[in-house]
Amino acid sequence: MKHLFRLAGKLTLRDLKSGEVRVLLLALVIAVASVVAIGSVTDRLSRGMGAESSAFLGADLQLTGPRELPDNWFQQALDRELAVSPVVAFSTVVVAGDAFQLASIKAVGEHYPLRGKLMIADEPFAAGRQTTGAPPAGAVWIEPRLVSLLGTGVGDQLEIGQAVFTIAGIISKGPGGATSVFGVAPGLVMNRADVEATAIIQPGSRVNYQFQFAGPETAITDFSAWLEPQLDPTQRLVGARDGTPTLKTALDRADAYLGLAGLVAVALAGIAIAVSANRYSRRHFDHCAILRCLGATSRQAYLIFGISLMWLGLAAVLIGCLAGWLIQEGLIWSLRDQLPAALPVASVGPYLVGLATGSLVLIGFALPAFLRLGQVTPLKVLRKDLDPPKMSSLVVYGLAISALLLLMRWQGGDWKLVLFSGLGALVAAAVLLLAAFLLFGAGARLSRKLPGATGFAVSQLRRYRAASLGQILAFGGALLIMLNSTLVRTDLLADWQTKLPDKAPNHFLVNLQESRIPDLEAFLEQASLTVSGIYPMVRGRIVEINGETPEVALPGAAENINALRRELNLTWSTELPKANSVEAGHWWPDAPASERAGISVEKRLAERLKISVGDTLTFSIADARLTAEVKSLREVDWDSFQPNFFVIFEPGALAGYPGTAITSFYLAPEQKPLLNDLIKTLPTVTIIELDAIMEEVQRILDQVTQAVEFVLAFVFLASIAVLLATLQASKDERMHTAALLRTLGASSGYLRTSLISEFVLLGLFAGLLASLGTELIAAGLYSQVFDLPVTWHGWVWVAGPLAGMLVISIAGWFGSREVASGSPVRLLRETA
Amino acid sequence: MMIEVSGLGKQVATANRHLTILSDINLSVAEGERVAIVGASGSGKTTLLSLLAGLDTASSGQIRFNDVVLNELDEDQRAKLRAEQVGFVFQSFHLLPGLTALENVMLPLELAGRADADSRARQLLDEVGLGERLSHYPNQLSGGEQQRVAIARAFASEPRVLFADEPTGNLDTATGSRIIELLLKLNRDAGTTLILVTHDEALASRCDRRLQLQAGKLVS
Repeated sequence: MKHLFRLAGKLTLRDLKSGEVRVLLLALVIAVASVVAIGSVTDRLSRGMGAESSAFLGADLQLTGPRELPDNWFQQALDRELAVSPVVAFSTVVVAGDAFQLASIKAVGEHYPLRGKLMIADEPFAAGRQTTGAPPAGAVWIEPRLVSLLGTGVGDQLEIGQAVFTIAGIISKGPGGATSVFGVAPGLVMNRADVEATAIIQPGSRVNYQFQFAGPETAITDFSAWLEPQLDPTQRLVGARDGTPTLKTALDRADAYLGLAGLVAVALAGIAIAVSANRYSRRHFDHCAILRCLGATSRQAYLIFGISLMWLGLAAVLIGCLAGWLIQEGLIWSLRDQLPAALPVASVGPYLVGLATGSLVLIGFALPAFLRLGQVTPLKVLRKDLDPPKMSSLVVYGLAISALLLLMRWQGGDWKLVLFSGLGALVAAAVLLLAAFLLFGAGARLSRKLPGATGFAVSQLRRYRAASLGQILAFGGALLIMLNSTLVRTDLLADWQTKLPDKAPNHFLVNLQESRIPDLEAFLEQASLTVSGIYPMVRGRIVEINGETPEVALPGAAENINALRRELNLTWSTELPKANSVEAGHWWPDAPASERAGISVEKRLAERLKISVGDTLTFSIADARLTAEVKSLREVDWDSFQPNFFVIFEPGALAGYPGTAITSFYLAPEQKPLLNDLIKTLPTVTIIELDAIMEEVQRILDQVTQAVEFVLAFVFLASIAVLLATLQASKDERMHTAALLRTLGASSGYLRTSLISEFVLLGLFAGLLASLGTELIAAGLYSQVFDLPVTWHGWVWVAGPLAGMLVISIAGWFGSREVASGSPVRLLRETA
Repeated sequence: MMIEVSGLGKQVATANRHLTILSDINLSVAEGERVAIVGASGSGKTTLLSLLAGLDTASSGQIRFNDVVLNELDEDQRAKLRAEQVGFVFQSFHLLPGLTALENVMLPLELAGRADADSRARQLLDEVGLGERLSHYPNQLSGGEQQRVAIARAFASEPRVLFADEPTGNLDTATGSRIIELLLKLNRDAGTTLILVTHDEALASRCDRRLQLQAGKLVS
């Protein structure tokens, strides 16, 4: 056995030196390196991003409910070694001297916040110092808006219920930023121990009890899975990612894309491996026959080549892991300015997956070719034509597909993604191959009309029809994946960019009295700020559904519908707002006229209220009641940073009701101090700052973008490996033909022209195949997985064939230029 | 008798008919005897050699090799027999390009698991006059040198029978005759039975006996 290992080692080493297995090794290294690098980068980035998302929420996981939460859940979390911080949140009026204001109070304990930073300053809108824990007993921290609304500052006193507190600081940055844009009262943080003294919480009070949890990812996931089934309908469990919907969809899509691209890189490398393993095996049939002739049993032959495969695999895995590590370190280093300072180190997981991937890809894609070696008959030393029997396609494809499916499970890939990619590729391949087949059929006439060498190229393609079609498929597949990854990337990035355009409004002004609008406009003009439009806003509560109280109309469900328990922001509008689309009924003025005022209701709210077009809702606005008829249902994109409304009235319907206005504008970071002047000018206005959240979202999207581009580079590399392997596989045949032609008197110019014509034609077909496949796959992926609009892309049809012709003729030329220039004797000897 | 053949026949199926390559061959070869198989191209010489060496299986008849009936062995048993008792020399040398001259000669010894592979291979390469070129790869050697490595390899496992398929076919006349001398000398020294296929009259005439094949039949 030892001598077989030594022998196999010697043979492998020699194959490596002679370049015989270079492409095989390269493809394997690419597969392993891409898995390791993508795995570690996404692992580190997503844990880093997870940490940032957690900073928003102030925890990794948050449980909320209207009643006190069971103590045993708290205990269970502690038992699982999670950090837990209980929080009590409620709204109440706070009083300072003669001024009073509704505020949202958060009563926190010593561990607050579990994640993210709490910055406390002495002045509104100042930077502040980092703080943890609750304010001391008897002290509170307040948000800047409360400072202007109450006319107080640090050191002053204010009353909450029956207790008196000292203002110990101004919150400049804290977790749990604005969760809803409208109707958020200014915030105040107090010590949980002081809640009882205020005597505010009485039976029936509206209080929000929270448990915030933090801990290792797996512990959080396990705990969440344990807790979820025990929740009642009033309790909600929120993960870090769920906190900001824009972020959630972006991250989910990025995850899906990275998973797919990683898998694609591996699958491509697999194809390259299969192609080069086939060539390797064909070129070793003779060697194997000699070994058999010298008395090696088939078991020994299997062992020798199996061990050889194992050595190769081991070398590739080692090089791949090292390359993967270097690449991910390089990437993280190049991204250091955009990344959080303390990015977690990569876990060992991706390296194990790399090792497993290497072995699996090798077994799935190279083993069938190697197994054929064991079946070589010793008689082949005397009879060259005796090749071992071909493996059943069932075994070959079965192994490859099983390997890919297994890899997919590891990479956490999406089955739908793979299904649609596979289907699109299959349809495109069938159509194009049929077209190429027919065209080759017509090639006989064409080849006679074309000038010498080009005509010869056409007839070559036609003569070796099966081989040509195989090459078109392989080239086309590689190009398809390059195009598709580029296309999806471009559209994903464009989609994210529209979500967060440059200078998107990042500050909202609410509670603006209509009489003060000219003052605001004057202020904005002086500060050179532009607003995105001023919208009217009236607050009202739904009191009847089709003439019945909600409790009667929706027995058992009404108390769990948040929209029925609070005042809604109502607006009116002539135009359908951006990011809204009508799903049922008609937008005015197309809606049929009726006596009652018309409204348009958000679709999901309508579903919860069990109403549709033609039903009525009665609102209580100030002291009056207004019954309106549903004219349309709208789908609203809540991810957009736009003012969105559950209920929109038709113009004029809310005239005469007391209302305020809302507007939004973009404020650059250095203009932040303007807010102090604004509050002095318009003390009653409420400023909602979204800049911090939007900056974070933008930062995370930037990182995701980088990760996506980085993965794309791997896909490109793997595609190039496929191109090289395919070219190399057909090189022997080309060399032999060329040598014969040279001996028959063909000039090297003739050979060169015919070779390039052949590659250009192959590239053209491969490019067309790639374009068609890209469109089909993109349509499937967009509609089913990424939730993006399906469109046709003109540039794909130009880029595909052009790239195909350029890339394949350049790569092909460099790969086989000796075909045209080498001496015929040498060529014949090498290919004999 | 080292080899006894009776009623040997070989047919192969082509697309639409059975092609008879050999029919009713009867012959015997004594231990230490040197036999040349001659005949025109396509007369079945190489097929007969491959059957005698256990590289292929017969359609009919029986081959007794050193009292073992080849027909009754499976492929792995025949491989074992080749490893222990058979040596080969081919027209196109068939050296492994990835191994040095020394390693090529060591190959059959290593496959048989022999501990003295290295020293025995060195000694043999010395005998064929390549003692100075141990670490050369086949592509660094001339045709004659490659064939000498192949001969050293063939004798490495001390075979009972040496089969040679056109051993001088790829060599010029001068080199060919030197190879013949070497082959016959080693054969004499080791007392090996030699069965060779050749077109080379000079080589055939140096053998004890010639078997003439014509259209798959033994004519003399």
